[in-house]
Amino acid sequence: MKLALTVRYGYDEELIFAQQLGADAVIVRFDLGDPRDTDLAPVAHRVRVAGLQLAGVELSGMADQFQPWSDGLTGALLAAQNAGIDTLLCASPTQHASTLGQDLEAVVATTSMTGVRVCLDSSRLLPEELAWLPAGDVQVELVLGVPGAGADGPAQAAARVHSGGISAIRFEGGGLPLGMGAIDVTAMLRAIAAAGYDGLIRAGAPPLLGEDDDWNPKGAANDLGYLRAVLQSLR
Amino acid sequence: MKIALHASESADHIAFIQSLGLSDVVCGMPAEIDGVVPVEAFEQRRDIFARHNLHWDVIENLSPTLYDEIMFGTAERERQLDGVCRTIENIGKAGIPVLQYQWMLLGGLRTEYSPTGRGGARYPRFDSAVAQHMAAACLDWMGGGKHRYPHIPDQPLSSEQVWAHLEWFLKAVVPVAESAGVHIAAHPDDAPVPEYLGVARILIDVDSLQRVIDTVPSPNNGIGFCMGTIGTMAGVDVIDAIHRIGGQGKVFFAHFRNPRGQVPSFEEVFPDEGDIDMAAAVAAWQEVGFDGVIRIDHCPGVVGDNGRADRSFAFQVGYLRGLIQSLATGAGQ
Repeated sequence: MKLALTVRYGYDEELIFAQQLGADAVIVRFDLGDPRDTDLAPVAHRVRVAGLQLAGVELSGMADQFQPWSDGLTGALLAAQNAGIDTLLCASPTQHASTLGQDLEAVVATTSMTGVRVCLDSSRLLPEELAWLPAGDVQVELVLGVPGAGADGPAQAAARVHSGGISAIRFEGGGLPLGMGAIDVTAMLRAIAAAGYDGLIRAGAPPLLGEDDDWNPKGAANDLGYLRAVLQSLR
Repeated sequence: MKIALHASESADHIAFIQSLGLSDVVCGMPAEIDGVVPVEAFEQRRDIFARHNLHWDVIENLSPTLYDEIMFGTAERERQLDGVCRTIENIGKAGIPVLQYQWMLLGGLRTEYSPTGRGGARYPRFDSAVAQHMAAACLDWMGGGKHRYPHIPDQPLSSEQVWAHLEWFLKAVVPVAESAGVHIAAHPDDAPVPEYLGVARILIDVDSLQRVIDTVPSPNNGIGFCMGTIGTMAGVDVIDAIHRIGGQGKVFFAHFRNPRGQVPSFEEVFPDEGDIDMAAAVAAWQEVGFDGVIRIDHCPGVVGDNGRADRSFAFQVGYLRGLIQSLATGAGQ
């Protein structure tokens, strides 16, 4: 498995931090709602010259309604293709249930055309929506640690991996350091490894540990260290 | 095995430790008064931690200024010994179970703190060839020079002399520790080189740690097992050492650190990239039934960190917790 740290675009300290802490790759969070930033080429360039591997771009600031959301994502897919970025991660705009497949047809077509994969956040999808995925290169980031987000235990996580279409897995600690909350991260990781998962993993929102900077680097460091240790112990 | 950090009494530091989900801390010794640390000083500090649901498990370390004359074997050692014994009695009265001490007459040694690590992280490094011509190897690292300890030595001291001083100390102090209910734990010499500036360093291999244990056999006489230091001892396998010393129940306290290299030169790196297989080491701790405190030790300097290196320590706490939990989960399957 490849362990990624999520960093914000434009914050050099976070890139250096990821490299120092030994992240295998970074996922760069990019604000699609900022009209000044529409080009993803600088995102890829900065990561590359920093000596890191770019595992994907996580889009934030997307519209809540489907059509503008879809338009934004289409634009981002084209920008990603131009920048040589192969994965975009994002949350779906609203919960569509029965119409999701139809609604996403255009997005699926664009992913096929651009060769850029989209990973939708499982914690924002209904079970019936999850069942529809993957559709072409529209796949799933499986979120573990959020009830009802697709897998509430190791067996369900393993089953999800078996079913395919999981391109990334994210562990949410619910405001606590990984290993201190309700989710049994080690059992989950063992289960998905046993199920053959070898893709991207990352920690979710980092916990606030004492006084900290606004991006919670202490919590991010703690969670990255935790995941690194579990991965090493599996080997 | 309980994960701990070295704590201060500051509210911010205590909040950080609590937010990591830790319940155990180690802390240095309060100031002495006329060569003795009063029981009230220990109790006051203990109670500050207790109010935040933190247990003060280990005193790290016995202040060298309480026993430097003993280490050097001067005429002042009898006077200092009385103060050390009374201090240990006070530690026992305050209910703190472990006191770590070291027998490094010239302190810890490092020769560099350079941005040569992963992503430019700063790694403390040691190189014997550099240190032999550099008094600052100890004075810069330990903050000495202006104080009584450590200092550039007045005369050479042989290994036999330094051992004799330690044995004199142990024979006097261990019975007091037994009566007080305090476990005293010897930290090995860091860096584990045989001499520095003409003064012998004696706790530099696993046999020497065994000799400390055997000098005064007692349930209260043991070792502060610094994985980083022992990992840098020439030819030593840390896993074997955990089994040998830990298997006797003689580890009262442990340090979690992963170096790369062994003397004559080494560097302190992140725990996931050093020479020690840390997963195997944690498994070894579990196999020998170690249930004491393991403290996150020195760590590399990372970008934007504060003076306490909270970011770097947070990484290591997460790393150690991940190993402990993962190995426990794996053992249960």
